[in-house]
Amino acid sequence: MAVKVRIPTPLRKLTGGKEEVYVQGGSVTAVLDDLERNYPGIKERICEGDGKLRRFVNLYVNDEDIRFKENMNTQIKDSDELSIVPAIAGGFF
Amino acid sequence: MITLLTDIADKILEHSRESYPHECCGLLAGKSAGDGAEKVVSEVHRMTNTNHERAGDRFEIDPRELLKAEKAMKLRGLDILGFYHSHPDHPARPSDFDRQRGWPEYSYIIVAVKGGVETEMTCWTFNSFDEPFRQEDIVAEG
Repeated sequence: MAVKVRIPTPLRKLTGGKEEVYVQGGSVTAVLDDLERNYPGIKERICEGDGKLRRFVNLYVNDEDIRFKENMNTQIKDSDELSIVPAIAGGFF
Repeated sequence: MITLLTDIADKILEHSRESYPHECCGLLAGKSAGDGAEKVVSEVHRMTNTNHERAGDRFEIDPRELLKAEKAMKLRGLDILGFYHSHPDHPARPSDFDRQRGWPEYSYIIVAVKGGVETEMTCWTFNSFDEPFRQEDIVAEG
């Protein structure tokens, strides 16, 4: 058993084009660490140097935003799904 | 190159006009080939501009709405290829803010709307985080 991680298009170069990958871990931090072990370079796109979630990246465990749970300490169990969702914004000014 | 099937371009322009003088935003869904160099957009979906304070010159998409849409697309075998938004009374060129908040590989369609009427539609993309935007050709089919 493993946790499914959904990879957005901008980060798929780092997963060899895969849209979904399976990694191990009982918390968001542990899942991201295992993701980094398997796909080096991906964690720095998701987290700041101190391990906190980057401002313009959202992580959802199933359909819940981890910022409204226990952030990087949010527990994850096998069969859960972690979605990496880029924050999309822009405008002429 | 990005190809817009059937009435996709009309739908984007209609949303841009309706939202004037505010910015509209939405997602582009379809399939890509050749490492993303060739994208074919078969669906667009309107997204809510959640930047209510600055809706006249900024847009922001609710990530929960985006996640829901992305999952629905996937069930139909489609992927999110990028996003569109309008620039009310400003050119269809990406701003510094567009680049700062842009993500690589996605295509960003921008519609210039002057006085409520669209004047230009352009598309922009970049391949890696340290690159500037480059213009992508738009082909409307159907």
